[in-house]
Amino acid sequence: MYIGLLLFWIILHGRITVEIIVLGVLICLGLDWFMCKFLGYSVKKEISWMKKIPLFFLYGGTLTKEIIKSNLAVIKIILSPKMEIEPTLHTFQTNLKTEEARVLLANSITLTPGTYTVHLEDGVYLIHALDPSFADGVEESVFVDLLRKLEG
Amino acid sequence: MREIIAGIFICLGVIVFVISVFGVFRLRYILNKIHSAALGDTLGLALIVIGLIVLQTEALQILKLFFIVLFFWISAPIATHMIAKLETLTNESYEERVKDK
Repeated sequence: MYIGLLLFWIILHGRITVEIIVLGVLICLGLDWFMCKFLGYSVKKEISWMKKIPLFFLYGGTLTKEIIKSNLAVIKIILSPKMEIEPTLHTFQTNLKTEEARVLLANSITLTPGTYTVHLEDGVYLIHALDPSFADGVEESVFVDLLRKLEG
Repeated sequence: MREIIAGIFICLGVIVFVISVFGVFRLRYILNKIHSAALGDTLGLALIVIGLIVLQTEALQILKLFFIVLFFWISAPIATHMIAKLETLTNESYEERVKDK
């Protein structure tokens, strides 16, 4: 995480000089200490995340694809002259174990237009969908498979 | 050539934003309006940033633009979720306006 923070600092500056790097090293050291102490980050956890970086990229690609697909579907609904929509609330239970994976799934559902998460408690999701067709595949979507691999 | 490609992407992004605003006014109820507002947040922003990335030549600037989309996509769902939760908590009759499944 420390290296990631330092890289981010340099990217935001847009050029590499001695003072930027010295200042960045100091600030990132402080920030990293804060994150390890209060936010529950640790070097051991980060190493286990490192092994899953390809999966994260795969997840990002899938998410982008799904976003484009559902965007086009919502645009079609908005521009259709009659607009017959049936907003539905849909409850389902997930079998993902960790909190991180559950939150990631909730955010992915919200990020794709057409569905969003209203409530999440103990793995039970309350989903609002613009049209029943959006809510159909939500329990066993591609995200769930990928998240299971990320957990495992 | 590069300017033309960038222009096409930015125009597409602006069109998506226009559709999104149009949808916000066309849909009737707040829980439905959120869906339309999400269009501009996701595809509209992504298309405009892709257009700007095509215009850029420096690698660090491209990464910076990429981070805009990344952080926006991380934080936007939380705002959506809070609006939806507020509506369901404060409006007692919201269930009449959605069909339960």
